[in-house]
Amino acid sequence: MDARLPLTLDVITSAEAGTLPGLFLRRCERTPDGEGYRQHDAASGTWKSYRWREMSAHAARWRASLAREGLAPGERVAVLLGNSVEWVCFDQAAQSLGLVLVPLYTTDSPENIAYILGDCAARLLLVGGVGQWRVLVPLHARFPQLSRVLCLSRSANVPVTFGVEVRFTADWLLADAEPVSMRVADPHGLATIVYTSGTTGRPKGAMLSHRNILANAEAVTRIVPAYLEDVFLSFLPLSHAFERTTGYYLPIMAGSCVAYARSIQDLPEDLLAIRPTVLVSVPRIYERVHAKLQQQLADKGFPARVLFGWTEAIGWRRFEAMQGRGRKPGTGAELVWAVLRHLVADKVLSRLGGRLRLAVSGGAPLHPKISHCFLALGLPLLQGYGLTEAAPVVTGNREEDNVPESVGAPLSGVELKIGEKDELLVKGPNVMLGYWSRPEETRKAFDAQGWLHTGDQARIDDRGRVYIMGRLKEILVMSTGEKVAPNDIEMAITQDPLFDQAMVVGEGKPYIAALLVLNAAAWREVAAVFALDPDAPASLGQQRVRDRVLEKLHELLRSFPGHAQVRAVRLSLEPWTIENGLITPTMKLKRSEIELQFAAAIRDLYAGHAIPV
Amino acid sequence: MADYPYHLVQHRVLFDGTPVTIRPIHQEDSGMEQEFVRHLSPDSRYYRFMGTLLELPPGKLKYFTDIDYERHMAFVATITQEGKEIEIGVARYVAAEKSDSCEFAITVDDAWQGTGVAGLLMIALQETARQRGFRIMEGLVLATNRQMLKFARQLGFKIHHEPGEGDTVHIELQL
Repeated sequence: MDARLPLTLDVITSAEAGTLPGLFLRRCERTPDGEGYRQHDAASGTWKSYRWREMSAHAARWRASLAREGLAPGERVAVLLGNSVEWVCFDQAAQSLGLVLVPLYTTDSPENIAYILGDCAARLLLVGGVGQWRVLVPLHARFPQLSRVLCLSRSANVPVTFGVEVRFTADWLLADAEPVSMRVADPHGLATIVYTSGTTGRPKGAMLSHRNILANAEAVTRIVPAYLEDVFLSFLPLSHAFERTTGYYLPIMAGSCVAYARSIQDLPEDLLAIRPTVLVSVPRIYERVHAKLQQQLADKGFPARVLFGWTEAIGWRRFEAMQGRGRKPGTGAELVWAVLRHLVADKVLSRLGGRLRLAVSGGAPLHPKISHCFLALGLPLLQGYGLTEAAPVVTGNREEDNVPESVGAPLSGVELKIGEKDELLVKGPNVMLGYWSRPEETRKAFDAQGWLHTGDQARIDDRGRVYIMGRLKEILVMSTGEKVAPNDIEMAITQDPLFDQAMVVGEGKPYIAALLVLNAAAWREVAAVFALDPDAPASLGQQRVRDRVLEKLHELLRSFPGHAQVRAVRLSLEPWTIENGLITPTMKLKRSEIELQFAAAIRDLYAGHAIPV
Repeated sequence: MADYPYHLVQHRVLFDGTPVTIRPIHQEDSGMEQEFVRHLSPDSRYYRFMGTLLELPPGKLKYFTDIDYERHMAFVATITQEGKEIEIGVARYVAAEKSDSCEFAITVDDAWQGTGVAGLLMIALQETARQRGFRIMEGLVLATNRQMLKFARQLGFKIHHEPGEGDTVHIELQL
């Protein structure tokens, strides 16, 4: 983004907003002609723009229609839609009537969705298509409170629904609605229940108040400023607290425009079409761009790799110097940088639209190698940390204080403490009200002094920066007493394009072993090298293939201590998916499920092995 | 208000010898039906704590109990415990858009599954549907619900996998 263009700061504070619908109202009043949203219209094949005044009218129409359902304040309504202007209208309509919004992941299994609908006793559900409702019909006994389903797209195949009335929004939305006034909600009252897709056990609903979210969004704007001129490209599901707060409410606060990407598959194209100025993402996207880059460099040959190496080296020195760590490169190097920036850096960044002034990463750990690369290319990539239960951002790097290995310092208003077993504890206006209908789990999450237990192990340096060391429950203790953080090892393994997914095992065992899901295309190449048939199941079990894999792992894990090295592997081509219940909608491994399913294979990894050197 | 079809009330015995009544649902069964629904929840004790009981809202409860016994039929299976009638299962059909077909659903309390109550309910429901002139009884079942699919096959249902909808299967019975 051209730094010479005026950037207008026009943030509506949490205090001014009062509540989430209050925030939306104030924004529509303040900059009615500003662009609020952009969405692709499949019919015309173009991007449609929505100004704040139009959004206000749409939301009012949804509100008037929703008011006719006769739901009482505090009742729950659920939404099962991809990110869209309709999602926003429904959320605003529900919030402005004092209803509690329960967002659902469109990729979630019917059982999980049914469980959540029953758990929160949702009265109404908004879906995109009838197909999404059909798969829930066999489970309708699990959510007896549901009486109404609204469906965005019309279709013929509506199943009989045993007491649940299905209506199409085209018929349901009142054309000339008598305006219904907004119900004034308590800022500390329940606004939304965000279910954390549990890596173990059933999902739990984190209850977040208006204040939790507004305080969080405002605190984030203090470390990551957003302007009226900004354009966000939204593709992470709105059902995730990270996107909800930083990619939806924060832009309203700042008056920025949000464009909804068509899909993750269309992301490369949409980045070029929208050219966002701010990107909020999980590490996976940055990983993919990085992997593609590495592949292209490998294909292009030696001179290209050398050029890229120079760019990275000089770029990194410039970054460090700007951060006050290390000397600035001399004039000679600056000249080289000016050329390299044009030849190399900008070309890479142009894939991200070429207008990014800021990229934020959260939701999972970002490998330093990836952040170093982008930072060296001149993209301010800021890693942060948070959890749904904290609405969700807890810490974040700042542009002027960015240490990629750390997750940054706490947001203003957020207090941190290291507790027993190095667990990170949090206090602040963003911390949730508790878990919906789970008094026991809520008691376990908070200690007697009111600190929220994050379940993550961390350390804090003398500058207040936090370094996450691992998941409390996900530290493996080997039979040797040595401790290993499986996440780190897995992350290092999946850097390599051969490995799509990895899970490390070794609790109570003498050494670390790994279950690996191979990338189909990369596997074909490897199979060819060994003159093996890639489609024959026996090929994966060949000793020389396993040896080659172990060699690769040894290389990838060279910076890890001896006891963390992987000694045995089990290879597969079958991915772990949300559908087969082995990963959560946020792509986290469901370790206990995977261990259960592959119990026999895991036993084999340790069968009859003497402790290796 | 339809006349209650007293002639459809049956007294049967479950596999373990427990006497069970299979009868059409009655308007006055609201309380019993509500208790049944509450009992289905595995975490029912938490709901009491939160003050929001898992239950059918008034509109839905009425829909379930105030039926016409023709286009909408429901049989409940009840037992007697300490002098009180307790619902342990319910099966219902509702006429589908096509005039000669109806869609069904069955729910049995976890504690009573495998006792034969599902079979008794379905036989009563199918018989009634046939008498009412329906030619087809159909429903949607989760593909992963092997138990239900096995049961459906035993009753003579044909199973069709929906193209493009891996999670549910459509089952159909010629009455």
